[in-house]
Amino acid sequence: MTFGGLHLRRIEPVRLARTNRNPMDNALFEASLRYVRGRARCLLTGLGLALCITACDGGYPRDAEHTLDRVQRGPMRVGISHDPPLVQARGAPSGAEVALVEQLAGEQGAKVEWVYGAHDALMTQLQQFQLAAVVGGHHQDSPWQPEVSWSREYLMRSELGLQRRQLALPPGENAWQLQVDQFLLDRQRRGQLQ
Amino acid sequence: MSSVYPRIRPRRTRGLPAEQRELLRKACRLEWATLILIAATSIMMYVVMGGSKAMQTALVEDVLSLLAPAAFLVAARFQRRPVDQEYLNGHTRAFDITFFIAAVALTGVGLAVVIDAVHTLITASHPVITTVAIGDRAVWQGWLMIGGLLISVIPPVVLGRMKLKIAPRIALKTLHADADTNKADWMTALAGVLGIVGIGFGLWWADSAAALFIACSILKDGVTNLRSAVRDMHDAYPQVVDGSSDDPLVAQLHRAVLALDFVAEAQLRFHEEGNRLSGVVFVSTADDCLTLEQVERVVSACREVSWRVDQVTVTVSGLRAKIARQ
Repeated sequence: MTFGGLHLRRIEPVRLARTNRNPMDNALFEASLRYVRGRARCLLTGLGLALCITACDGGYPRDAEHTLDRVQRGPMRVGISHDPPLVQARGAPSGAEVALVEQLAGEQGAKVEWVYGAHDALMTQLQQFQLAAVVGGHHQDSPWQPEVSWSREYLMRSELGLQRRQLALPPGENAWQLQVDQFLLDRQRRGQLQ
Repeated sequence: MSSVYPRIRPRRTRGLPAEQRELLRKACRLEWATLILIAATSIMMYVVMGGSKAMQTALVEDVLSLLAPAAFLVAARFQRRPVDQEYLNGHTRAFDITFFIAAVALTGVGLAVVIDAVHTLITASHPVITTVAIGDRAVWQGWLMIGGLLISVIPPVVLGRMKLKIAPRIALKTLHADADTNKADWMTALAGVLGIVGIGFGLWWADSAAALFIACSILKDGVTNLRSAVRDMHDAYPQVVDGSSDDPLVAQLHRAVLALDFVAEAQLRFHEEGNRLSGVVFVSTADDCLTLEQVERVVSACREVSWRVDQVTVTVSGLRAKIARQ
């Protein structure tokens, strides 16, 4: 609608009917609709095929920042936060959860390179993909909850009783997350972990 | 001295014909189906949702798209009430209000998705998708999310298409806008699928990029509908249900009035009230006088053109006299 049209409308007593769409436009519209629909089907089929191929390939899902590759090339850099009795960071690292992380590294054929630091500093490094995980010092309602990713939950027994534990993982590293969770799930199924 | 007649004269509104009443009932059933199905898929999506931005926006989109059908059902109920001493002009405007609400909801969805996606892209935050244990295997949650999103695509596609078929036949713009919302719904869901597939390939930005791409088209639909709703509230020139062109009904009315033997010239000022058209007909006759019988003939000539024509006020034009004086 133009201003010219509005102006005309005000002074002209007889207003001419404007047709909705002429038949040629309609035909064009229908044709373009058919074209888009045809292409959409093509696109979806392609997408489905791509999904099948990548799913069978085993290389899916992948990491955005290649954490799994870096772990397998070694060493596996893990942030450690003093959290007795499961994580002892004074002196040589020890404790049940430290042993668990060492087993995880062993399964990937890597050695652990422990990175000591304050919890927040470690989590920042984790968020920047400089660490593969952070162990110890996590609270249930961690403010880091949506900023980084978390492994599946597992229970560990210590003299403080049964504790609900999680490893902090870098955000959006899909392949690495899958490896860690599969490792933890295997332990839980075999009864080595609750 | 007081008059023997009441001071207030409410409209005598014209009921809908049987076909349109049936269509309206069908539209209500569709809106109930929308409410129930979309609420169900929203719950399902909430359960499988991880850290995907596109998935979150698809959910927000779903919840917001409940607003329009809910408003429609309230309006359909309200609109059935007869004219009374308070609502002198009837209740057909209820549909104008829901149209406005539906348009605002659609625009809001578009804006929310754009802001969200741009924020994610700027802060370069990597969406977190964790795993779920199925039997002895840890399974990437992305697969569940894709499944959930694909299921959520089905109801809005089907319902949206059915609404688009009905909307022009009962001239309800709000129903058309709601169909647009449904379209936005399934498009965001498909964008979400693409986004999650992209994340799986290690493309952390795929998700937000897909959401942003779709949001632009939602925003466009929203703004188009919003402009149309604002027009309607100003009693602007009537338009067809998707706002793409002027309503040809006005020209038909003009022809019908001119066809009457006593009418020399006629001018119209019609506007939309919900799905009805009401307005004024200015008639020029040979002697610039109108009898009661002539007024009634103009009204019935207009009403015969379409069921949509409701209130017709007929008055003497006076335009010829004005021109003659000059």
